[in-house]
Amino acid sequence: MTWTDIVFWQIVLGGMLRLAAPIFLAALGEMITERAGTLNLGIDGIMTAGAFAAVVFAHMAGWQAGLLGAAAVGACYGALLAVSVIRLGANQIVIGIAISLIGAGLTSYLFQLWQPSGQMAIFVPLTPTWKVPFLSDIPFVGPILFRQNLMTYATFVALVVGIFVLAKTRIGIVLKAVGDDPAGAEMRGVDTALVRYVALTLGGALMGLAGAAITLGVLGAFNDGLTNGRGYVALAVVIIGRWSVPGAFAGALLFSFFESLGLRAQSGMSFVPTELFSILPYAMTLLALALTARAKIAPRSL
Amino acid sequence: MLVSLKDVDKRFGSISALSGAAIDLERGRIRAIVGENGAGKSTLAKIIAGIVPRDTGEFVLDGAAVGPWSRRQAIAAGIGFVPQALSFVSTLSIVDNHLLAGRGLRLDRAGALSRLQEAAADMDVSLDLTSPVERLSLAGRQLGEIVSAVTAGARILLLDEPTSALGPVEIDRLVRTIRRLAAAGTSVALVTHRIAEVMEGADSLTVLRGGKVILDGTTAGLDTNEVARLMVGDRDRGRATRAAATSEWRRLKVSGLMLRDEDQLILDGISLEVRQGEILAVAGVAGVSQPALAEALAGLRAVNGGRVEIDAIDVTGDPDGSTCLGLAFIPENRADGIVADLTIFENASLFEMGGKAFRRFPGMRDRSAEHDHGKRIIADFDVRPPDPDAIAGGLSGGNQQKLLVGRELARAPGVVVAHGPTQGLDLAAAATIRAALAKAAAAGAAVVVISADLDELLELGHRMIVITNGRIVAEFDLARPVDMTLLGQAMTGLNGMEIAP
Repeated sequence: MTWTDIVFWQIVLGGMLRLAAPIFLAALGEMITERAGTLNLGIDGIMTAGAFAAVVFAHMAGWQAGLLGAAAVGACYGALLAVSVIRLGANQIVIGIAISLIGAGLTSYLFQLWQPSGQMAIFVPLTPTWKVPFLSDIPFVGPILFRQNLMTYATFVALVVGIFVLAKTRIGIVLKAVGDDPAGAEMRGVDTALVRYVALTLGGALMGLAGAAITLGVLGAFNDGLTNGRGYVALAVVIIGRWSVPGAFAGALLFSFFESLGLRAQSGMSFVPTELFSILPYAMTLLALALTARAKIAPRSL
Repeated sequence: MLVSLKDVDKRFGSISALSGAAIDLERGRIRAIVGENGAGKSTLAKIIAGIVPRDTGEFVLDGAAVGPWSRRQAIAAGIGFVPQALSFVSTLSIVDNHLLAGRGLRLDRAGALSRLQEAAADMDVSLDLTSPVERLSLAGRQLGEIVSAVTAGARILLLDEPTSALGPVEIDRLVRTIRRLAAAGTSVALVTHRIAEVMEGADSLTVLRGGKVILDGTTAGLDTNEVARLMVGDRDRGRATRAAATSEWRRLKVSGLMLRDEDQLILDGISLEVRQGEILAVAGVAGVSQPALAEALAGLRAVNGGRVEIDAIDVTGDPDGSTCLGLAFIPENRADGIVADLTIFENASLFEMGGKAFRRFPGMRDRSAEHDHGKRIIADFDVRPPDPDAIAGGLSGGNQQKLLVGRELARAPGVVVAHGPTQGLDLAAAATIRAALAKAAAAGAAVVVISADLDELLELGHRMIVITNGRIVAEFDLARPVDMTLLGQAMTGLNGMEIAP
């Protein structure tokens, strides 16, 4: 398979959508959090915890339980951050970093207890792949878009629901008001603390699901450090996407395209060191960040 | 009786804002709440609106006693509130701000837009309802808040200094709207310091002084001078005096200033000269041109063409340069000139900290010199509380303004640009500030006063220009009696021709 082969690009683009799911879900969670004027720097840790919880619960009761477990664990971390920052007045940056470290460290410890090293790795089945009838038979586009894992379809749904809720319901302006001018929002009868609790908790749940999208959508098993810093990529994607839902999706696709390309190209171009391909998505994200960072559109109370 | 407050006490730290205050609001009646800055009028309105909790006292709504009271509960009870500092979220449009105060998840932008348009049309004002409110003028925002409160169908409407940014035409429309709402059964409370408005619009009157109710009665048969005397108490009201400007030294020279915002020409070739010792009064219906001119003169806004020169040095778009050349700038919005988290004395010496007069060693602040400077401004401008260590954000609006003006004029400026310097202030504070501006001119400064208050401009200025649609449409020499008909025509844009002084 070479660069010029159409199947090569079909696989790369299909892989891009699959790999975009964790980045997009995490970025969506962070975007909601930041739109409410708060910051969750614990994304990577929460994704790790969600990825692990997904495997454990899926092993016990199937992938549905895995998704629920991942969302619940993520929501707990989000709520923990919310209580520390809003109720107890802690510094959100410090607590966010702490959660990032706890998420990774505690998960690693629990993983050791559950599956001591040296044992056979426990694999869980991936979320089901669904071929959309007829649509998946469209040449080229069909297999890319309509022969996907459930997590990928869930990403599409999250994209559409996210756009709709922010543009067409009152939630959108409430979030913007709280993020831009909490004092003004309070004057107009908005309970800013409540909005932030909800945003942080929901954001955490989405980050947990983002972890599940790695284990249940791609890998089928858990291993330490499996996020590869994707949480921080999601943080960058929120900025690249200018705090908008479609923007976050585009940012996620940018990263996952180069990730997918790297995975495929390694086999075809053995003369290039594989490390170079592993760097590519991160380098591209950094470049995009540098090019878009000038826009002053961040929520003002952030 | 819709609302009845009795024996209400409220303290902010060591300062008593209200003691034993009482007020009744009735269906279909307009009540004015008047008093000096710091008399407790805004606090009283905020307590009813659920923004400030009362310390003690009785609050009865619809015959039932009210416990702890939040803004959300007040909104649910139909209490609309337009605060003096305005409550709109600046990044949202008027429509979205209006919907923000609503309930539920539905977002009916089209419906809200048409209801707001209808209310605006009833008030005879035209508003940009869909742009972020930060792009609107202060007057536009103020009218927008009033329109939004009216559209929300408030049973009780509290307006805190609703006319502070409005011109005479808009005030007239507002008074008519309030009357119409009252006739339809709304209870209106109008917090104001303009006695003329009160006599014209209100049915009953509450006069506050030092947190106590001095008078509670109907406006019928009340004498304006009597109310003014009650508000101020027996105090000597300083009066600004005008010394004729004779110097030929043109300290401020502006030529061909152009400013474009999308398709709109905000400043369309403004040229003017202000001589040493002269006060130039700038009049016009409140709009976008006045704030733009003020900021362009101070170098704070980039212009599309033209020059601003101070003492023959080009300072166009150069705020540092103009400050170095002795420009004092009093912005329309005092939050732009006062750092709310700093103390009075720190605000007083803000631009000169570590400067020659405020240091013992290079690079080291001299706090005691800063302190003395703060105390001087407090004494000269009667800033209350007279404590240089008080946090500026805790002062009432009027006292913040006195501090701001005091700081700017204490630098012995060469050019003064003051935009709405006495907006929202009581008579005594306004008189103090006008006298200080006149004194700065007498000391050799070229002064530009931009204001919506025509009486203020006529009292202060040597010369007056009228700006309409970004152009100077008329100029008057104030040493001679002004033809008020011509002035009115120029203000309303009826007369486009240049009028010779």
